[in-house]
Amino acid sequence: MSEFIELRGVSKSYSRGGENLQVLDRLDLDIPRADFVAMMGPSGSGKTTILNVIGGLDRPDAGSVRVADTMVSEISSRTLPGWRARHVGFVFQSFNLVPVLTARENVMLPLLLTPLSRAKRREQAEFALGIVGLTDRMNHRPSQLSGGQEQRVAIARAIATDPDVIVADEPTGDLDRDTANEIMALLTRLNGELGKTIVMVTHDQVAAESAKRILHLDKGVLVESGRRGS
Amino acid sequence: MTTPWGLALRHIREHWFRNLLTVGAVAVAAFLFCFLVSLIVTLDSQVEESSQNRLVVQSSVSLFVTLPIDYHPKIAEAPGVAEVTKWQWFGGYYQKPENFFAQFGLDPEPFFRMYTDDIAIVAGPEMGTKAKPKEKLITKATDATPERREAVLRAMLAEKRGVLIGKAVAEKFGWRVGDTIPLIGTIFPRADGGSWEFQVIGIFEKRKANVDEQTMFFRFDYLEEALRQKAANGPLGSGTYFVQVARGADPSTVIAGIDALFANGPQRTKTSTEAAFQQSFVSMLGNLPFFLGTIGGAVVFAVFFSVVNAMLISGRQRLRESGILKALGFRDRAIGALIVYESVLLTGGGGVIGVALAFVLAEGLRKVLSNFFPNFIVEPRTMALGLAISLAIGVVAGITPMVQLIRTKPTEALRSVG
Amino acid sequence: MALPIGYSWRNLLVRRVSTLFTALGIALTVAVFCGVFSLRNGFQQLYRPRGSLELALYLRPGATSEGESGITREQANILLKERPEIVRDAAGEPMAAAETYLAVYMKKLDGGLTNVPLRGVQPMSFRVHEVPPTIVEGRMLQWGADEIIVGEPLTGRMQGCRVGETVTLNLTPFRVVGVFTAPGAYGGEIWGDVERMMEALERPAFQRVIARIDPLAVEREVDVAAVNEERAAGGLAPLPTALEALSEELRDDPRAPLQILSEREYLAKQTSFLSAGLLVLALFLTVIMGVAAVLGAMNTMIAAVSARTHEVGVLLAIGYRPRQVFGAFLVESALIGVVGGLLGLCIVAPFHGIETGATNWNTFTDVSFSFMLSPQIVGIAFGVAFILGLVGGALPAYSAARLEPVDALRIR
Repeated sequence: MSEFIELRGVSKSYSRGGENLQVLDRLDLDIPRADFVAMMGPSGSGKTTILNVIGGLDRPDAGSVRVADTMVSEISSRTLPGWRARHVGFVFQSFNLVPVLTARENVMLPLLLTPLSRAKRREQAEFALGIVGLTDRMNHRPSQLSGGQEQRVAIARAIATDPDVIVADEPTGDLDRDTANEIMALLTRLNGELGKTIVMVTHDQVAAESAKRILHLDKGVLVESGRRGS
Repeated sequence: MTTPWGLALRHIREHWFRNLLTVGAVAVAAFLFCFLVSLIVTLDSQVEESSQNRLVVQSSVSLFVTLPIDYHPKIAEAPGVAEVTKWQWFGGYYQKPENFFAQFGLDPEPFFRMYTDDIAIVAGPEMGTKAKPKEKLITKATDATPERREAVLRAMLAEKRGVLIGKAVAEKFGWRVGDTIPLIGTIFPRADGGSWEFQVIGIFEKRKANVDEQTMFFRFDYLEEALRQKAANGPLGSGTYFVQVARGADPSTVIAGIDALFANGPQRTKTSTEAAFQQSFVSMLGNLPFFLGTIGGAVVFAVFFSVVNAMLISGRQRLRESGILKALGFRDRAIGALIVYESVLLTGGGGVIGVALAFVLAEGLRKVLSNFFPNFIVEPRTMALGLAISLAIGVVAGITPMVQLIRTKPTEALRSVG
Repeated sequence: MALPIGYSWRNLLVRRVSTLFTALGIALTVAVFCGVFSLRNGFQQLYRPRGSLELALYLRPGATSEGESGITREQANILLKERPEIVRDAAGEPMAAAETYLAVYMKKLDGGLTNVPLRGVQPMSFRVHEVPPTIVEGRMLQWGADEIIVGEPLTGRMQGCRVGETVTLNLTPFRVVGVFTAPGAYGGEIWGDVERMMEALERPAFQRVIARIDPLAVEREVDVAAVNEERAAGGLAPLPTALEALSEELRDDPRAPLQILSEREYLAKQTSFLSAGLLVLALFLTVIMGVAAVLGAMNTMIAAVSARTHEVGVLLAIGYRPRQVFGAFLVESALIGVVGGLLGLCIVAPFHGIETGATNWNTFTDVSFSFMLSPQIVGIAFGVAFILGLVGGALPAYSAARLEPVDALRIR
């Protein structure tokens, strides 16, 4: 059976400051369903780029990207946002919550793109917040939450639409050790209990240990370093 | 295409003070725009409402040259002339030179016959002088009956000093039917240095936009008698004659006929329609309409830039958020629509306030401007235009940040420091 | 040690577009202010007092302008023969001229009708003024002929005012034989022989007598104290000058009741309507546009403060005082005001000297004058721009100064 997420021959280059940088060069990658992959490597190694093409935020110059049944690299830019809304959940390093909305409203945001009624959306958002343990902070604004709490809201938002894959870019980057551990525990739970496929980029070795496997990326070349429990 | 409209309102509330400033600036501009355009409209309406079937006969040389009295019967006999009255500017004031207003000496009977549609007699001699101070002595224009008009005409014919005054004058000085009012003449000063005495026998309200309610009509023969008896000084004659064209007659033919009568003097005449006469006053304002229009344009321009500025600032701060929304799956157009929506809400709100302010203040402004721009009016058309421009500013001001937000890729947007 | 002006200035440069747009709002306010005031100034300059000679006008009592006045030939004769204050020339002739004045219809070259002042003069009219009209084209008019000379601005604005053309007054054609220049409002008039005028127009009365008078003779002629005593008895305020007292006395003269006032005072009064009107217009527009400009400036400064919150936190942490932060932002917005002022002046400057015309509502005649900026107008306009900038920035600057370093630094 073909894998849940499949990258074939993916190449991507950027021009920065006049120079052309080849970030990914004919990369292949397979991610099975319910996998929890951590990608590590020095800056500029292309790990964020891989996240972006999986999440449909960016398009490869060459090659194909398939997520579940969809050829993400093929679908039109018109349909891409819609696909993102239904199939991907994002978690960012700097949380990226909308400051003028409350926690619950932030979680409800992606649900606006579904045909659910208002009441249903609230229900689903509150459910997601329940999973991350922030029901009592629903009506708070991001400025009133601690960093860890903000990230948990972000995670709740990421799972609110029940996406195929959660894409996390340095989820613990702005957090202290203890809070980072909490977040990683939460992600582990989501992956283990709820079967969510998670692709994560991180600098944090400890955070990476939570994943089922760790991939190292250097100059666009992927090297698997080890499977947990192998 | 789902658009999180609620986010727009949230944004507006978030920076409520700044947005209040934007709304305020647009309100100010909309108000000023309406005011300036209304000034121009007021001037135009004076001419529009003027009659093509009434003629003004004046000296070909100057408005200030009086035409001989014996022109009256000659004009009356000219072909196509239904009515003719003398119409002499008096140029007096009440107590202080600042209290000047228009006074015209005329012949009551032709005048009343000619001006049936333009004015409504709202107070007549039946009101009496014994009324108590707070009693409402002016009735509505709809109560103006032909009987009252008859009564006022008769009162004027009976009392040589009788005058018909406009409602605005009555209200300004608190005059009522039955009051004796003293006026100082400047063109026709009394020989003893004192004041002229007139008696109020009626009050009128305008029925057309080009009638100035700050006017008093008195009997020309009262002036004539005083001049002949040397009780007062000044030229004997009438500065103008007002003529009613007979039904079915062609105004331009009548005009030519009248002027031909006096082609050999003693005073050559220049006859024109009332409309053309009014227009000549407007054209004496010279470039004023253009001037005002330019200023109105400058204001709109300035505020437009200010709003564009405010929206660009908002847009810049919104970059990060637009990246989030895009990542979450909202469409570019939805995100762009959001900021245009915000922009239009703000300018539309400001426009409504400014236009409403112009409407509310119109009455007060009319009183203040009455000496220079009688019948100042803020038309619904002007208000609609002001509102439309405000909305248009909103749309255009929202477009630049919209384009910027749409064009920025989500990955870049997320990287930006909002 | 305050934050250097360079800090404020450079911040402005960084947000160039924002600064420019805000300055534009202030610039337009300044432009409108200067524009209307320079129009008013140009108009008033026409009537400003010139020369040192004491010239007086005799008018009918109660007339506020020549047009309203009427003096019979009899009265004029009595005046010239008997008034001791009128200066006499070497030959013993009174230096006084009886003139007529009428606002006559003329067609403008660009269409439309207007009123032009037509003055019937006597030979003495040319000698009474310190700077009499000077013929610059054609020739001087012949006395007794149906000829007129026209003021220079009229040739370019009115139909039929060039040398050789004809202006018909009532039934009589008058030939334009010369063009003249004259200081002040006289420069826009048409002059002709008063006797010919009176006949052609069938108006057998003068409007005024203009005369050179001897102020000392005025003082000798009237007992100011006595006049004021009488006024006090009647509950009236005392008159300050001898001339005014003389006017009061003349008014009661049974044979030739007249008023007298200096030409200076008369001219000043002739500006009242339009001057006042333009003043009101200028203030009204400036206030309204100023409010809009301030709102715009405030908006910009609030955004500036909000974008630099972290930076302010750093400054405060380093050791700058809130007062200095306040000052820096205030300077920034004041600078926007200055830039706006300069821009505004650039917008109006080309208007200076442009000839225009308006109707003088006192005399009801067309007057030609130019837009005239003056140092005072420019100075005040600058001040206004500066203040608009300050007012716009005050509140935001204050809010910046009240930031707590700890909170400010927390913002990314």
